Amino acid sequence: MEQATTNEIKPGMKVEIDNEPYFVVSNQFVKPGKGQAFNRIRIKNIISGKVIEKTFKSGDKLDLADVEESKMRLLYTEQDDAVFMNDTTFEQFHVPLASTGNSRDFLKEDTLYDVIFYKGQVIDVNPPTFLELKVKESEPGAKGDTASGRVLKPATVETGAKIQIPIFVNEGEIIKVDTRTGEYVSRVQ
Amino acid sequence: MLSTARAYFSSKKILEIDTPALTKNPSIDVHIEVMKTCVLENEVGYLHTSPEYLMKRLLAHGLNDLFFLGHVFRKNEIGDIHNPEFTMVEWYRKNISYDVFIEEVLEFINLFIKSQGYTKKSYRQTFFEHTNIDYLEADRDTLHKFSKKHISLAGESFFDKDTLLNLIMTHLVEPHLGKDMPFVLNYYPRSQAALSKVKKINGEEVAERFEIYFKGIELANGFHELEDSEEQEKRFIKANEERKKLNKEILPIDQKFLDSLKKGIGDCCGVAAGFDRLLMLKLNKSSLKEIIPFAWDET
Repeated sequence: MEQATTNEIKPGMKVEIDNEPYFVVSNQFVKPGKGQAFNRIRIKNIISGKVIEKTFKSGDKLDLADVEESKMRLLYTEQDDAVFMNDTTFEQFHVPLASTGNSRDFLKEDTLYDVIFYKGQVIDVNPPTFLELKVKESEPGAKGDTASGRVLKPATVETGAKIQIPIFVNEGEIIKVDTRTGEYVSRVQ
Repeated sequence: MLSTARAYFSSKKILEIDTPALTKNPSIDVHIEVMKTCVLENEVGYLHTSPEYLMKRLLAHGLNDLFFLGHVFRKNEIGDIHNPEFTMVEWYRKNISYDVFIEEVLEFINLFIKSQGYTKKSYRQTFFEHTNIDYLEADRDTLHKFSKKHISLAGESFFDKDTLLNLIMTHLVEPHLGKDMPFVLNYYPRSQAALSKVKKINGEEVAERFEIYFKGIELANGFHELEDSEEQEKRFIKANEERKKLNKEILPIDQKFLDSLKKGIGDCCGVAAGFDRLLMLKLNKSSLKEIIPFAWDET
């Protein structure tokens, strides 16, 4: 298992503590005048999202989490699973929809996703930053009643995500969405 | 800011001494790591972690009041209030009482942070007020139990009594010290005396050592300086033994420094203060990166 000392631990790194994977949120170096130094490290559980703090003796080693990211193509979704394929090895993975995390509402066939593995199990799936999606359901734009320039209305896209779109965009049109925020970016010609 | 500091020392007729950063004999401390470097083809040297030993050699030569204002180097110390290279202000005064010296250090600090008044309390009392534990009477297990209850400790590595005291102080006590005005933490445990004299007060053996905190940040570390060269040599040997136990490099003992002590440095008090931190507090910033022109990661 790869390790790093407390002074090498930086925010964003992935560590494993008590058999669970964590993102490092912050690392505070604490040292009394003439005494043993400590590192107070805040970490966020990758699976549960809970943030905790742990104090280490400065210089102690931490295990780096066996977290791997792999780019995979979504082939199709079934009732409970999303089926991904590794383009290089042609290996297929059945990922429970419940484990698709950030991509739950953004699963579009034939698109590449970042599949996050921890000890061989999928714990999250990250979609591309921008996706072009068809508006599946939306009310036609209402006239009048506009106080400022841009007025939005609710819509559902083909992958199930609920996006606020401008009133002039209609069902069947393709829009560009920022998957990080779930926001409409623009129409796609 | 640097000129304000120099003007202060000048007004008190304290001489500035520009001791070298490179030395053959670094300070020996269990928990301070020193940067080693190649000075001549076949000679290594160390970057000083403090100008102390050289300044004390000058005190032995007859100089009375000295100050140093410059850079010191400490390996592996990096964070919001730590930079591997930082500016230290360190000064020594002869024929001054311990209590008057503390007042002088506060006077210097107030040139920058301009606060009114100060709190002065013993380590023992301060520790008790924040933990309900008398550090002197408590055994290692009591402190360990208390630490585990209030601090999320990672791993099961062994913490000795002093490490536990430091753990509790840094996590649970220090952040509360000096909220409105400087806090003088006075009379440290005998086991943490470092280079200070030891005294008996009400049956308790304490180090004549104080630290000053402001807004939870440690600013200064001062002593009534140890004059006994034999005791100092004993402490160096013990420090090296502890370093060895921790798999750390054993450091050469500065015989010239010990000879100076034998010769006599006189009855004096000394203090080392973090100058960058002083400015950080003066300007209400929270990181040295906002004070130091180029912190390590920016060079």
